[in-house]
Amino acid sequence: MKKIVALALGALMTAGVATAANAGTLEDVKKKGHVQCGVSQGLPGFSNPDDKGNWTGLDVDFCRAVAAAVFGDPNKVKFTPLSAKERFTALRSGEVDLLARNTTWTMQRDTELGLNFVGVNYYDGQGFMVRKSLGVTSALQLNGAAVCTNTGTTTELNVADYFRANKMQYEVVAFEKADEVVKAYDEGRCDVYTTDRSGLAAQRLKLKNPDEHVVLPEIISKEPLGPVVRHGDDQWFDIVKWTLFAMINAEELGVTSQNVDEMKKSTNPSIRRLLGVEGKFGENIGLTNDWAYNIIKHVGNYGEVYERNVGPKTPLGLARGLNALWNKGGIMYAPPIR
Amino acid sequence: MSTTTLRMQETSAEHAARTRRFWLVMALGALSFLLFFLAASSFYYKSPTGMFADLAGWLAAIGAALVNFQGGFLVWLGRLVTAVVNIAPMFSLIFFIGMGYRLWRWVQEEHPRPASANPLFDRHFRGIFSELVVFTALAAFIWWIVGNTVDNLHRLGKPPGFDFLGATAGFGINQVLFLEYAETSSYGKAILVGLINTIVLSLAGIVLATVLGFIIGIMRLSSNWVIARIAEAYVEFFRNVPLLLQIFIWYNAVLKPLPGPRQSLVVADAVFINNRGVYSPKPIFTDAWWIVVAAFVIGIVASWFIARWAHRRQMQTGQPFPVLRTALLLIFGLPLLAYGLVSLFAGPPVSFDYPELRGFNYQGGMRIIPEFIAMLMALSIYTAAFIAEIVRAGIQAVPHGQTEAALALGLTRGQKMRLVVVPQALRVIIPPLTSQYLNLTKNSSLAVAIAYPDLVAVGGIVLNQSGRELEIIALWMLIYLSLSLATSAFMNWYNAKMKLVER
Amino acid sequence: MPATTKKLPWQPFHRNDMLPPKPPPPATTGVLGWLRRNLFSNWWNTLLTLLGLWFIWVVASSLIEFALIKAVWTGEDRNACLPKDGVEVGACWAYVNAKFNQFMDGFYPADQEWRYLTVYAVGIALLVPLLIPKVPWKGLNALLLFGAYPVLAYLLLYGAPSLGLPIVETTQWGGLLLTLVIASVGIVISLPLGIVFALGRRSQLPVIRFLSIAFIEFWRGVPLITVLFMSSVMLPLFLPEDVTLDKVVRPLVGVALFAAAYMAEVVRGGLQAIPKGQYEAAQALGLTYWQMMGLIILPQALKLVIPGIVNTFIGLFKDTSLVSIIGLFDLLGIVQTSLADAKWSTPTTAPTAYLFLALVYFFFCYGMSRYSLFMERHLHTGHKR
Repeated sequence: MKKIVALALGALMTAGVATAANAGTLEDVKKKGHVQCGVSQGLPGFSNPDDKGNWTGLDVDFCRAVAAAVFGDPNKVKFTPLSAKERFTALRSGEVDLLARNTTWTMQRDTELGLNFVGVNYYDGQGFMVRKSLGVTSALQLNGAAVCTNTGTTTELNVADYFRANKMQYEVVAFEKADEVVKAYDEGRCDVYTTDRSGLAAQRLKLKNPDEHVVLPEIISKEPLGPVVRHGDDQWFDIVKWTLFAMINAEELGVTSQNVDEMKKSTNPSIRRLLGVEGKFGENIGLTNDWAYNIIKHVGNYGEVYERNVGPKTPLGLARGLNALWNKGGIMYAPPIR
Repeated sequence: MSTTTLRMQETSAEHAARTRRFWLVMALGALSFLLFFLAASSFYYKSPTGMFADLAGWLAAIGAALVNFQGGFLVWLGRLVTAVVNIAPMFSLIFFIGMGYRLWRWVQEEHPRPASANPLFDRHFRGIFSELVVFTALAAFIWWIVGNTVDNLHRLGKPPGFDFLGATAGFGINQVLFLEYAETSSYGKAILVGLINTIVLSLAGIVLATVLGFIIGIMRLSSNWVIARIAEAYVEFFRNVPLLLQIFIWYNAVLKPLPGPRQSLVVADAVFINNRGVYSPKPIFTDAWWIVVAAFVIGIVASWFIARWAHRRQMQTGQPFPVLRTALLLIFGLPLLAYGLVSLFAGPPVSFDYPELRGFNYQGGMRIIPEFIAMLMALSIYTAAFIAEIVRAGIQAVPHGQTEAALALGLTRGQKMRLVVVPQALRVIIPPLTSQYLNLTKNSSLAVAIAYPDLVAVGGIVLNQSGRELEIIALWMLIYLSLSLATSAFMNWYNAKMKLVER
Repeated sequence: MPATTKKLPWQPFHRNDMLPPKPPPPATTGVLGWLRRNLFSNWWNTLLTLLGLWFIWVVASSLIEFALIKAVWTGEDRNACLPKDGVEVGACWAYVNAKFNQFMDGFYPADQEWRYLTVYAVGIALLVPLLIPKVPWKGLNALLLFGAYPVLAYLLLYGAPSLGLPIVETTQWGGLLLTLVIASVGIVISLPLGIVFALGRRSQLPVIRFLSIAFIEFWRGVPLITVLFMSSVMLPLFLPEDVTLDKVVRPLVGVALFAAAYMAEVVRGGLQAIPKGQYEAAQALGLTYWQMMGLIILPQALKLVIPGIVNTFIGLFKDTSLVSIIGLFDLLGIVQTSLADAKWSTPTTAPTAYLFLALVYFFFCYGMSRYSLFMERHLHTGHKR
């Protein structure tokens, strides 16, 4: 009966309705031939469309990596831009298979909202940006300031906590879209713009005169940003999780998109396992054994993706910092493939 | 009894037809009930007996929700709504019973038709039949939607309920009126703040739009060609550009030319205007203030009595009395007098808290945020264009003979408008005017686009933070719907009162 | 009267032909008279006129100065529109020019643009004859427009790989294209739905009447933006977990239902205006309900309320701009987004963008309202009293 009504509805709205079998996300994805990935509506460095609608960014590359792992083709991915409000519903309702939308991992989201965070692909923290002309050097001098921020984010709550904890007054002006926040800040509606520091670096590019603004040193929160999947599909959870780990491990083992073919001949057992020369790790998660090879070949390891999208040589110019590997002074750490 | 006599005359053919009809109806009824039952048990209960087993549970839940008054009004209301919503699919069952009753009545009734007539050509039967079809389909659809929703929410581990309204909000709101709100307040309180902001914005918009709309409407009827064309251009332009765009335009126009707080425009050393808003002194009332308020009330009451007396005297003697001037004098003069006396004897009953630049912004005083100004301008200018058209139509609807008669009686232009034209025009104007007010109130929800913290914007924040889509959207709709229905009810009452009583 | 005519000793003056009429006083006719009557009849009127003229002069001159005289027409990036020597420039049309493609179609692939242009062309070719009362074959025309055209438009816009048209995802639709798609689909769905609900509301069957009233009052009582939030956030919850609705279809459902409720009230007005005798005559002829409605009542009622229907369309067209709030890139949404582009951020970018938007929306809405006025006059034939 359910199917009949669904079909009838499907016939009504041929364009819009896509029915997918209920089996498991992996089968669904294979059947429809692409990964549907939820991304932000435009955050340079993380997920941003150019004038032609081509998406680039750290989160976008992660989606491509998942597509490469599943299909061996990084282009078998489609992007759904989502607002902060829509993102979790879209994931839960099956509209997207995977959410890579600079989303902060919190306990409430992980437990109450029916989501699973697969890991962290960017360690971030919330910061403040102000005009240089204000002469402010510390966030503790911001008493009485007007603060522009996004609604529906952890940022909004953190800033309230921070000002309250430090017994400071503030006025919050909270917009639905990141672009509007930047515009209002640029127009002078607010003294302070607050969001994740990576976001500050990205949005700063949209200001009229980026050089007239300065990011304050304080980091007022932990913002581990990571990809998210639906609760209750362990196989898909594993695939997405290990896609991330494979990218980090590849960097640690020195496997890059350039040398990955030579590395296949490497004698290092870790590399051999990673690239599917030894063991059946890929098959165990329902993929082919060269899944990680495909990721690295087509998308690159974590370091490459970082440098390409947000690293010091990009307009964002973010140093690795916390996001360096654990053995290079950061905390990026992935369990071994074995 | 006529029925018995009629029945006595029934021929056997008629009897057969009646029997056929009876069984046809019964079969149809049974079929649609079966479909209905199937829909309910497969979409919602997932078991054939669940529907009956749950009824008692629902009634108990509503009773419990009614009695259990805890956690603030909104939470209580939320619980009640949850309980009622839970039973919503059951409403369709009640309808169904009603339908069955009508069918039964139809079978029992006498029908002055040829006995051999096919029941399919009976108007009543067909009516009941089509209602059954529509109703069965709709009920199945509702069961399906509600069933899906409940399924989905349970799958996501979020059984619907309004208890979350009691949780701590944790975010700030930049315009809080009449209430005490802090980050530690509850979600429910935050939504109340939003509701008040919506109401304040709507009321201000309604006043401004009415004034502007009447001015433009009268300008359109001006005998002065230039003025009429200006009014026409105004109406055509503002009606044909989306309100959302106008909001953006005004927000931009309000923010852009204004200086930062440190270079504020200053009016009379007390009012400061900058891109953070308009700051003005805030009156602080002492205990003696009530005397001034009392004087004001006395002024109003006295004016009302004087107006009544003047009216009666004019009816009897024809002597006019300058009511308006007297009333103005009383309403404003008395409080002023009281104010003067109180200041003389007890010191000024009101002092002012002046805003001053502290740190980044002005602190203290009263403040109107730029988002409010932009919303107010956009809403009232947009709605005024529609009101102007209504006013024009209303005035034009007054027959020319009325104005000629008024002039023939020797009324002045002002008297003619006030006593003859406006009262008659109002009768035409009020109903569409009310619906414009309603539109304005609903349109104020666009505030979410420029971060004015109205009901939708604050609700949106709560929605985001708590992940409760269903509940927040239900709350929005419930509130707007009750505002609308209340206004409609008022309008109906007013229309009935103002209706032209004809011979 | 020759009998009574006597020769008088003196001949009184007797005019046999009329004097030529004197010209009216110069100040009441012609341009001057008109001016005097309408603009300068007394000092108050004169003052108003002068004030009005001054107002027009201020508005028009600053608008023309901004939009034309000081405007920047060409340029590669923001440098063209930055203040020159401290003097602000006018409208930055170079920016609109650079973004024009995006404003028109969002991210629609450039090599596929012919597809929606074809859809536009066919649409205009079918719509215009339908709108002109004199052109014959209205039935065939309407059948093509409402039957064949949607299929064609769907195939062309969305694509059909079997016909060699690659699929263009709706996430790539945007700008004016998306606005027009939402508006026209909303119009096409809401009119029949509105008629059905109007009939339902006037039905004598209590259940149907109640359901229609509930439907109409519900949608008219809530703001569109909450409907859109509902359709974007809650429609997925309403459907079984394995069914997902396209992001463009979701607001469409909301917009169409919303407009249908308003349409129903307009149509109801028309139904009420039809004299009772028409109903009774139809019934006396033995027509069934649908025959009566389809052949007698609705043709008259719809004709009466064409202006109201067009006004609802105008409202719907304006309301499509709200989908930008729920994150679709319709015309308003995409222009708002482009304002955040640092490449074009200048003091005059936003005013230019808003002026451009206002002109585009005004063009469509004003056009529709003129058409409705024209139809009102054209159809002013009988029943309206």
